[in-house]
Amino acid sequence: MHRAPTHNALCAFSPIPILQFGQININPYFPVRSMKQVISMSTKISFVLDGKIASIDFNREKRYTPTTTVLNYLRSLPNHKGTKEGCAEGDCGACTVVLGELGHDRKIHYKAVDSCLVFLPMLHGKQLITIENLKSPDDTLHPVQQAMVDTHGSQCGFCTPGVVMSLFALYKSAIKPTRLNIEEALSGNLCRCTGYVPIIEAAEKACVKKKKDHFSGNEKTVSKLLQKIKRNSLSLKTGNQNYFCPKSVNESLQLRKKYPNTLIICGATDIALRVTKNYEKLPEIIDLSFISALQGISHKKNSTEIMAGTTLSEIKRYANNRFLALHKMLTVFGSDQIRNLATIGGNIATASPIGDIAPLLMAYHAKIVLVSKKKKRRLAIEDFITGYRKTACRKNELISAVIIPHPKKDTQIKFYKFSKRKDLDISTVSGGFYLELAKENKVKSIKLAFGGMALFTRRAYKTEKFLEGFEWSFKKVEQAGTILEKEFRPISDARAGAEGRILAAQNLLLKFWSETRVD
Amino acid sequence: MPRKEKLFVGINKDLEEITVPIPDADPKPWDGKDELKYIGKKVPRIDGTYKTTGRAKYTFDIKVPGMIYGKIIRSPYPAAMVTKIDSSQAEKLPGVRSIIRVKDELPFPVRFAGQEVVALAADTEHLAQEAADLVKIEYDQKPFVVDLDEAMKENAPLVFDPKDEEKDKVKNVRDARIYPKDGKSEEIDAVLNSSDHKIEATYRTQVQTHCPMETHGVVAKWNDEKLTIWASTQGTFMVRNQVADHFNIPKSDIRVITKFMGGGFGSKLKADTYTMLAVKLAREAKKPVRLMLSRKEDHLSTGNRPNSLQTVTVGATKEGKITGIKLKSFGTAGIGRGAGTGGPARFIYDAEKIYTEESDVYTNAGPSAPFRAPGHPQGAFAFEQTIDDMAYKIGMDPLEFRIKNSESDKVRQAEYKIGAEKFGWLKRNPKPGAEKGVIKTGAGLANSLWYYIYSPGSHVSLRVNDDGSVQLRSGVQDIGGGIVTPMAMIIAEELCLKPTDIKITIGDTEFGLAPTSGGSQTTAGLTPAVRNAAYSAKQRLLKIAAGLMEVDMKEVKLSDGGTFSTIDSKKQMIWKEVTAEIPEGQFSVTGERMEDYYETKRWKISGVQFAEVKVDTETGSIKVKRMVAIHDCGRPMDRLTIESQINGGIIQGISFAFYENRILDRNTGVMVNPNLEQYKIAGARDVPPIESHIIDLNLGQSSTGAIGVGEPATIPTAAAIANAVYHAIGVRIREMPMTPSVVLKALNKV
Ligand code: FES
Ligand code: FES
Repeated sequence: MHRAPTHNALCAFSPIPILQFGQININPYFPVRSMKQVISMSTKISFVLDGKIASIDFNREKRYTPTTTVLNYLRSLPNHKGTKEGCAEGDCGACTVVLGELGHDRKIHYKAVDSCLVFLPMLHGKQLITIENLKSPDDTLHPVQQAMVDTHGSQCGFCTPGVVMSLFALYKSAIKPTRLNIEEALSGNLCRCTGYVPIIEAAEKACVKKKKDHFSGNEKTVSKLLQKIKRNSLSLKTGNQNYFCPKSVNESLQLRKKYPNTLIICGATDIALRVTKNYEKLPEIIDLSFISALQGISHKKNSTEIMAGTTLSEIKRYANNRFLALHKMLTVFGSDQIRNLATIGGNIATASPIGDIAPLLMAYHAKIVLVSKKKKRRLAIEDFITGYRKTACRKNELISAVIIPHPKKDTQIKFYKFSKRKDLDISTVSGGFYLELAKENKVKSIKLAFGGMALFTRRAYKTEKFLEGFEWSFKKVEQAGTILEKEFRPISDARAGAEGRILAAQNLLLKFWSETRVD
Repeated sequence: MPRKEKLFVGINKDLEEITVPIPDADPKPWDGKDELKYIGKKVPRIDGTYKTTGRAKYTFDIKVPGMIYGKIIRSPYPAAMVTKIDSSQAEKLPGVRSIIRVKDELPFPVRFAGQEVVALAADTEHLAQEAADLVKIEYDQKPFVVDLDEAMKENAPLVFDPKDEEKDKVKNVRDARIYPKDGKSEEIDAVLNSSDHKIEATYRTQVQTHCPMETHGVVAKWNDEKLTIWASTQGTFMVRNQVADHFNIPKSDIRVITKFMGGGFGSKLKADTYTMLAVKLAREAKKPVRLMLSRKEDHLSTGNRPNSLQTVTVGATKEGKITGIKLKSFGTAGIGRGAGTGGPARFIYDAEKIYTEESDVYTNAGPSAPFRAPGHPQGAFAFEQTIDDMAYKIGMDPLEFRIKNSESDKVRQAEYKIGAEKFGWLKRNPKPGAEKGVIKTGAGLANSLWYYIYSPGSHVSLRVNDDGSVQLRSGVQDIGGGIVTPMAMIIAEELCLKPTDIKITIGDTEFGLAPTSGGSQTTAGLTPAVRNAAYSAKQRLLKIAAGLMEVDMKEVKLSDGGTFSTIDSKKQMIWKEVTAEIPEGQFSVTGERMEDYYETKRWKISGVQFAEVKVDTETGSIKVKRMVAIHDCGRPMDRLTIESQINGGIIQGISFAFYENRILDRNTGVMVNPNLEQYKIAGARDVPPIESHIIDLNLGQSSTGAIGVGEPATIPTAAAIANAVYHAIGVRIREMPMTPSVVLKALNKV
C-alpha cells in the first residue's frame, strides 16, 4: 500500500518531505568496526533484555510493527508491567527506561529515555533496562530504590518506576551530581503527589556517593552479548510498513530516491506521537540514527561542526564551558529523556515556529550543511528556514551538519526564554541575541532572533537596523521596543496572548540590554 | 456502661485534664501525655518496596483472561443534539464485541466537547480505535458558551434547555447560595460602609484539572450475576454503591478491588460514566472489559477545579479589628455544580458580620469534581490577599492583623507563633516594594481552613494466627497518602511489635467498610477502628497469656518485642509462645469507628503558610525561594506521611499559582491544551525548600485522636505566594495563574 504523506502534518505545509531528526544516537560510542561491514539488510532486530538477547522478526511476529513503541512492547510482556504510561507523549516520564549502549571505550553507557517515544528498531544493538531489572539477583534493592524507600519517595507510586529509572541513569552517569544535576535528571518526570522533595533527597542519598552495583559486575557479559548483535543496515518490512535503518549517507540518499515520499526520522520524538495519538500508519520510514557518519562533534580552527544526528544531550555536554548560551538553552530544553533521543538535525528540520534552537543558532551565525549525491551546500540558518515548517532542504538532500563559527572575542551571545515552566515546555517566546559593540558604546553589529513571535523563527531585521550604529542605551533599546512591536504580529495560541508575546519580547530585549550594557 | 477516663488534651505540651466517657471495650484514647514508640514518629511507608520495584499492580496493569478493550467515542462539539448514530460498519469488523450508546433514545443532547456518546469494546486497543473511526455520528450543533463572563450575559446561549430540565437549570447563573441563610446583602453593606476602613477587590482564578498520574479507568468482569470491578478509585464502596444503584443489583453481588491506585485528588470519588459504560460493555460482550481513559479524556471529562470571579469586601476599625466580610463569587463547574469559594471568608476570622453569596454558572464544559479542598485554594487566593491589603491599609503588619482577628482559634495562634519564628518574619522589611533593583524579594503569609470530617461505621478485622502472624483487612483504598503505614504502626504500637510485622490487606469491598478518601477523612475515620481492633486482640492475648502463666489477667502486661510478663516480671513468655496457644489456631476480632467520644467543639483544621519569593521585574518571572508550613491534624500518626502530604500540597499549590490552566477555545469550545505539555504541572525544578511543622493537637475524641491533613496543605500556598509577591513589588496580582505576562501586565499599570 502506498500512501503519499499528505496526512502528515509536517508535509502538508511543505512541498517536500521534511527531515525529522532527533533520536537515539550511538556515537561516540559506536564501534568503528561495524562501519566496515558489508551492507546486508537484516529483517530483524536484536537487543539485550533480562540478560539475554531478545530478537523480533517483524515478518513473523505479528503482534509488533516497526513503529510499535518500546512502552507498548514492554506492556505486552508478562513481566514488565512496572513501566507505566502517564501521557504517551513524552511529557511525564512514567514510562522511563534506560538504554545501555556499548561505547568506543568498550564500556556500557546508560541513558534514560521515554519509552513511549522510542520505536522498536531503535533498540537494535542496545541493552534495554527496565524497573524489573534493578534489584540484584540476590533480591537486594538497588541503591536508588533503597533510597526512595528510605526517604518516603512515593505516594501513589505511579510515577515511581519512571523516577527510579531516571535516578538509576544518574547513578550510572560519570558525574557526582549537584542539586542542579539532580533537578535536571528529574526534569522529565512528573509526580503529582510527593512534591519531589523526598525524591531529590533520595537522589542525594544514593547518587552522590556511588557504590558498585550489579550492573558494573555484569558489564562484561552484557558487552559480549551486545557485540554479538550484528549492526547491519535494517530493512524491516511488514504488511503495510517499510522501516529502513541505513548505515551510510549514501545508502539513505539512495533509499530516499527510491521512496520519495518517505518520512525521514532521526530521534523521532514527535513522530512517535503520530503513531500513538493520531494512529497514523506511516508507510515508509528512513531512520538515520544508525549512521555513525552523521554523528559527532568536531572542533575546527574557526568553527565547530556538529553532525546532524548528534543528540542534544551530547551537544549539551560539549557546549558546557564552550558555548555558554547554547548550554544554557539546552539545559532548559525538554528533559534528559528527550535530549537523549532528540538530535539537532531533527530539531531544525521541523522548522517549528516555537523552537528554541533556531533563534539561538541565528545568534551564533550558524550554517546548515546539506548533502546530496553530487554536492554539498551550506546555507545560513536564516536562509534554511523558509517559512512555517518549511525549509530549503531539497528532495535529494539530507541535513548533514550544523556549523557554528566560534564567537569573536568581545561579542555577546545570549539566550532568553519566556514561559511558564522551565522544563518540557515548547517555549512561548524565546530570543537568541548577538551583540558586538564598537567604540563609545556604539552598536557595531546586532542580531535579534525570536522564536514564537511569527509563523517561523525570524530575525527582527528592522529593530536590528534601528539599533545598529547607535549607542547601546536604555533609551534607544526602549524605543526599539516599538519597532519590534510593529515588526511582529505574533501568533496567538494557548501559550500566551498576542499582547503578552510582544510585551515578553520587549522585555527580553531589555533584559539583554541590562545584562550586556557597559556602565 | 461507659467508663470515665481522665485525659490530657491540648496543643503541644500545653495540656489540660478532662474527663471523657469511653465505652468499656475501647482503649483509653492516646492523649498528650502518652509517649509512644511509633505513633508520632517518622516511619517510612511499608509498601515502599512494592512501588520502587514496579511490583505494585494498578488498575492500569490488570489483565484478566479473555479481557477486551473498551473505547469511548466523545462529542467533538461543545453543544449539539446527537441525531443519528450509525455503527453498522464498525459492527462488521471482526473482533468488535459490543457497541452501546450512552442514551438509547435519539436524539439526545451533548453539552460539552468530550462528553460520552458511544462506547465499544474490541479484542485489541487498536481494533477498538479502528472501530471507533467507523462509527458515524451526526450532530446538530447548537450555540454554546464556554466562558464564564459570556455565560453570565443576558442573551448567552443556555447550557440546559429550559423545557426539559429541572427548575434550577433554566438559566446559566444559578440562584446564589447565601450564608448565613437569612443573611442580607444590605445589612453587611451597612456594616462595611460605616467601618473606618473598607477595601474591595475582584479576583479571578482559572480552571485546574486533577491530572492524577494514573488516568481514570476500570476493568469490569461479570461472572454470572456477580460483578468484579478493578477500579482506580478513591472510594471502593462508593463505586460499589453507585454501580449497584445504576444497574439495580444487590451490593453484595459487586466486588470492587483497588490494590494500588495512581492518585485522584478528588476526581476519582465517583463511579462516573466511564465505569457504567465499562460494566455495560462487559455484560453485553460477555467478556471482561478494560477501559482506561487517555490523558486527553482525563482532562476533558473527569472533573476539575472550577474557576472563579470573586469580589471580596472587608471592613475594619482603625484599631485593626475586622468589622465585616463580604464575598460575592461566581464560578463555573461546567455542566456540574460546586464552584463556591466561601469557606475561608466564612470561617477564618472573628468578624462581627460575615456574608457570602456564591453562584454557580453553567457553561459547556466538563463537570467539575471535588479537587483537594474544593473551593478553598481559590477562595484563599482572593480572600487572604484582601486581608493583607487591609493590614497594609491600616498600617499594620499582616501577621499582627491576622493574630488580632483570629483570637478565638488557639491552635491557629500557636501556628502563627511557630511560623513567625521559623520563617524569621520579623526580619522582613515592613514596607512593600522597597527593595531596589530588578529582582525583588518579598515575604508573605496566608491562612488555611478545613473541616474535621469523618464518618462513623468503618470497621476492620484483625486476625492473629498461632504462628504469631498478624493480619489486618480493610476495604480501604490507598489513594497514595499511605494509610497502610499508620495502620501498621497503630497495631504495632498496641501489640508491641514492629510495623513491618503486620500484614495488611486493603482495597477490596469484600473486607470491612472503610471511608472514601475524600475530605481528608481516611485517617480520622479509619485509624480508631484499627486501634480498637488491635486493643481487642491484645485483650484476647493477655487472657491466653494469663491462663498460661496461671495468674489473673490484670497481672499480665505486654511489652516491647511482644513479650508477655507478669507485673512483677517473675514470669515471662515471648510472643510466639503465647500465640502458639491460640485455640483452633486463629482468632479474629473487629474494630469499629464509632462516633467521637465527646463533642470537641473543634470542627475545623487550621494552618498557615509563609512564602518568600523573588520577582524578576523585567521578565515577570516569580521564583519561590522557600516555604514554611505549619499545620495541625489532631494527634499526628506518621510524621513522614504527614510531611509528604504537606510537600505535595504545597507543590500542587505552586503549580496552581503559576502554571496550570485549562484553556477552552471560545470559538470552538474545545480544550486547547489537553495534555501534559501545554497543561503544565510543576516539576522537580520548581520545588523550593519546604519546612513543615506539625502541631500536636491531642483531643482524645477517638482512640487515636487523628485528623486529616491532605487537603489543608494545598489551601494557602497560592495566597501566601501572592502576598509575598505584593510585598516584593508593591503591586497586587489578582489573577491566576500568575504567569510572567500577568505579572508584567500588572507592573506596567503602575
Ligand atoms: S508515558 Fe508520559 S512520557 Fe511516556
Ligand atoms: S507518587 Fe503519585 S505521581 Fe508520584
